[in-house]
Amino acid sequence: MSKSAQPGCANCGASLAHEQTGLSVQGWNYVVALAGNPNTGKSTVFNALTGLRQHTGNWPGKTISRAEGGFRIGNDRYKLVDLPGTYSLLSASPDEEVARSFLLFGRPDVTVIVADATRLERNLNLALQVLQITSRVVVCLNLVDEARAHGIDVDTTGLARDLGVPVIPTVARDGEGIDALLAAIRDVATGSLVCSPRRVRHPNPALRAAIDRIAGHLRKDYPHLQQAEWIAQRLLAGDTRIRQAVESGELAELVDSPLRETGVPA
Amino acid sequence: MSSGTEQPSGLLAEVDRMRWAMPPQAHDRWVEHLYAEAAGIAEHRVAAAGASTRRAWERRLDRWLTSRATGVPAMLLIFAGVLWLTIVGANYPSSFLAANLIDRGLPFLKGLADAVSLPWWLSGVLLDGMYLTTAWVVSVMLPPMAIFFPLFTILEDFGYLPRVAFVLDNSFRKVGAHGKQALTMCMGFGCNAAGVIATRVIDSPRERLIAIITNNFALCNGRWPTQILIATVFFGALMPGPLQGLTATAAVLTIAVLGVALMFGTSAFLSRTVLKGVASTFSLELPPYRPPAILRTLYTSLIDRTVFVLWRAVLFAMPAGLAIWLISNIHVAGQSVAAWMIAGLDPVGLLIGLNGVILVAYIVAIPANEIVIPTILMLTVLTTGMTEVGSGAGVIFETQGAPLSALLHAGGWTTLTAACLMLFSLIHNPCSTTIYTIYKETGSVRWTVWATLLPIGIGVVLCAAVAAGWHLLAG
Amino acid sequence: MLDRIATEDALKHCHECEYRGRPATAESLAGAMGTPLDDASALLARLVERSFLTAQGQGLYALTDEGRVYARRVVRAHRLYETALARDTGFPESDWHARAERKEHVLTDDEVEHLSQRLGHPRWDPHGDPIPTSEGDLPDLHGLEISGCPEGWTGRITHVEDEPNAPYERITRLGLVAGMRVRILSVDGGRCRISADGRVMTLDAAMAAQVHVGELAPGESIDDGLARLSDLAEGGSARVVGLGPGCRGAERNRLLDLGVVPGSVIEIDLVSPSGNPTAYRIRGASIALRREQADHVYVHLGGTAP
Ligand SMILES: Nc1nc2c(ncn2[C@@H]2O[C@H](COP(=O)(O)OP(=O)(O)OP(=O)(O)O)[C@@H](O)[C@H]2O)c(=O)[nH]1
Ligand SMILES: [Mg+2]
Repeated sequence: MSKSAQPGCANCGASLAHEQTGLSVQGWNYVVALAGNPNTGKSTVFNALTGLRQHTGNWPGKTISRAEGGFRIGNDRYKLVDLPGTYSLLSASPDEEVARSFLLFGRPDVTVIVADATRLERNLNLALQVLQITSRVVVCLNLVDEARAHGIDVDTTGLARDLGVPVIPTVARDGEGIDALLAAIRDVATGSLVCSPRRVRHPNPALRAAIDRIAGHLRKDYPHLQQAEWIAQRLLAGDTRIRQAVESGELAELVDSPLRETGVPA
Repeated sequence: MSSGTEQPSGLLAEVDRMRWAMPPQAHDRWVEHLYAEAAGIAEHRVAAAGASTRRAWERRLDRWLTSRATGVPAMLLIFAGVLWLTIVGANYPSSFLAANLIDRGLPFLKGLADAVSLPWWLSGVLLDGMYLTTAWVVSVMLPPMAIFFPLFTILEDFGYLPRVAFVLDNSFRKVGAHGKQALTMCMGFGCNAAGVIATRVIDSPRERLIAIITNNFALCNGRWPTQILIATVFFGALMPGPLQGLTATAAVLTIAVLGVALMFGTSAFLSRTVLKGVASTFSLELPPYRPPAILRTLYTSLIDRTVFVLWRAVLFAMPAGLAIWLISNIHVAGQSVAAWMIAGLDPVGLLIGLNGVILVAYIVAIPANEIVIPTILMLTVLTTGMTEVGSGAGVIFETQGAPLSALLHAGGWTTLTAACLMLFSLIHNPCSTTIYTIYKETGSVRWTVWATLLPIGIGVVLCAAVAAGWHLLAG
Repeated sequence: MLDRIATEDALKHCHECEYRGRPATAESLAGAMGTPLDDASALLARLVERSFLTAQGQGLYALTDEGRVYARRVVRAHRLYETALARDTGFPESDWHARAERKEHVLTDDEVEHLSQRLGHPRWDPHGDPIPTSEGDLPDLHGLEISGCPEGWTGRITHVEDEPNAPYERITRLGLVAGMRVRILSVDGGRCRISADGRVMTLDAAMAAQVHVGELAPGESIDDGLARLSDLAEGGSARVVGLGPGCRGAERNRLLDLGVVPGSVIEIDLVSPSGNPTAYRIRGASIALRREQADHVYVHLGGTAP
């Protein structure tokens, strides 16, 4: 396992007993989801972490259903879920709905957003949306080799400060930065790193008031609901999937217990 | 709440009331705002030395691959190149596998069987049936697949597939289909079942159904080798040495292009009749070209393909071998069941330019296209009585006076039979896996039946027309 | 069933008349439903008997409260179904009406509610008409026929009537939909030349009779520099102003998500062999769009601000 020194990452270089456990996802302690725009290298990251050979291809839409694999750090087992790429959490084609549903209702312990370093702006658009629904996020800034080749330099430390979550530069195809990514995943999963994500608010004051009002009602019913504002906003936008979740009580499942520790199923 | 709609809870009722007072275009504003935020962050944190994120060579290449004058010819040339490499390259490993698995392996195993004095029928079922079919499948199917797919994957990793969709979109739009159908078609070149699943990238249900029903017109895994084999034996052989590969390539490419044309034709038919409608939208991100990690790609996709072909060989070829052996060896009224079937289907077969053997093979091969050729060979051996071939058919790609060519000619094959077989192999019902996948993806018996019967209907009509035309010209 | 269809169609007609401030008579009903005058009179009489209508004398009829509720239920089903067709299917625009016309009579209240919910309780149908709520509320809107407006007048299209179908089909082919801002360039008899969101087009008398307009909102004006993304030439650049009202549902959301939002600067990246689709460079990525979609993207060419 190559170890690349990462600035801004305290744990890199520390002993990181990473082991790819392939398809074996029995008895996992944490669930990690891979989200991001299409064609940013999610499946490549998945393969690097699990040792599996999930199909990759240089076109958006290669992955169309979710795939699972596993890895281990020390004694902890992680289940990793590769998801189809998605441009946004606001609207969805059938394959994107798979990703959105999992991020919302699959309750991953850590969501890794794989972003393309050469198209940061578009990728941040999705990242900001994900930050609205969960705070346990690691941004994997992939394809930095291409960015370098184009003379693009991303200030990852500054970006991490802007977003309030760790940002790890990687070249997933060559395994560069994977160790640092693992360390960040571990830190967020175990709670030794608590993120304070940037939450964007709607620019329209009237709408903000409406959102707050609905969110207030939601919080009354579900005191620990993290993403009340987001759900309120989706309800006001007429999002049928979210409405269903409210009607069916599925929403109750969204309520994060402070830290879901050993989720070892019987 | 005895009946009727459930009243929305207080919360949802309030949401509904508030929705009437929402400012116009709130959603547009929101996305605009998100992008503005993202742009603000990116501006701070990204230092870009170069102005353009596209390199000059990429631009030049893109002009070549997508321009009016060169886009389509470049596409044909690239596919012809891949096919040619496959045809020329598959020859050697194919002969090697056949020589070892069949020429040497079969006598060796038979010797073993004799040594332990296995009863004739058990050795027949195991060796002449299951082993021989599997060996044929492996030696005929594996090499072309193990060359074609790695090459194709390299194209995919390089970023060529979205360009294909970009170039072909206008044609798809005109027939009322989605441009991403080109992508699912490309996946279908690998395996139609995978192509059918890939249609999930198409948002419009109508256009997705069209893509599913017509995916079978993309020549798949199980059919490329059939095309290559027949083209090599019957059309390549018409030419002197060095031109053989090129001629065979041209023949196979013609069939593949015909398949694409049929895909357009049936899409147009569907969107004017049972799936009436106009083309919706199309948005496709064209990724940058990425120089593929060639060696790694070759390696992983070679392994992938080998595992895939071998697995299917075990799954389908072995039972089929069993079936073939049984119908050839169970006798009813003085003749084997196979002979009865062949004799019964011969008139129909000849009408559409084929013969009884081929039709029986297609019935046996409904589970998987891969076993068509082995079945044809085994049944022909049976009917011609050229039993020597069991040990001599190893050199199937050798065309001059080789046993295969001789065998098929002895079975009454002509150039017409070959042409019609290539056509029919392109245009017939999807394999069992694909049919099941179509059912799973559409959840509809109706569309599954459409997808199954439409191609075979077209295939029969087309082959009959070719046969009639041929006889008219020849006679 | 036939009786139900006739009843509902007649009530819908009376509702339409009431909404547009026109009188409902046996003649108008016969005209709208294409039935003989006698049948129309008999039908109206039956509806009076069932207390859906009251006869006002002089051959005029008006809806009772009960009749209005019923009529709005049918209108609601019709408009919701059209909205669903517009959003989720590939049927041509000119087919929507006929399909909704059949469906409105068979959808149950439950199904209509379900449909509304699935669509996210939309408030407007694709023709720009308000969809009555499940309580039967309908905002009051009145538009003028565009041919009645003077030269130089500016306003907004509030409604595009989908019957009769032939002129409507011609209107949809021009890409004219409710919500667009228009300026009347010239009026000549029934014909008029207008500019609508950066496109100049001519409506013949039959078409003009089906296009209704209203005043611009206070503070709103016509943007004369408006062009469409499809007007962009290679080498030039365009700054996005917004998406047109003809771009709806999933299509609209998809374009927004791809970064076609106000302020984005767009250039042409690649043109396909036939010129359609075209790949545009949008916020760092190359995205191929068909011309029909680029038509919905309103821009200022040359990347200049207004
Ligand atoms: N140069 C370079 N290429 C990479 C890197 N990571 C991934 N790739 C390539 O980028 C392409 C896309 O990778 P995938 O892993 O399939 O991307 P994805 O995000 O899973 O894509 P979808 O499933 O379509 O959303 C492939 O051709 C990879 O080989 C990287 O770090 N550097
Ligand atoms: Mg993927």
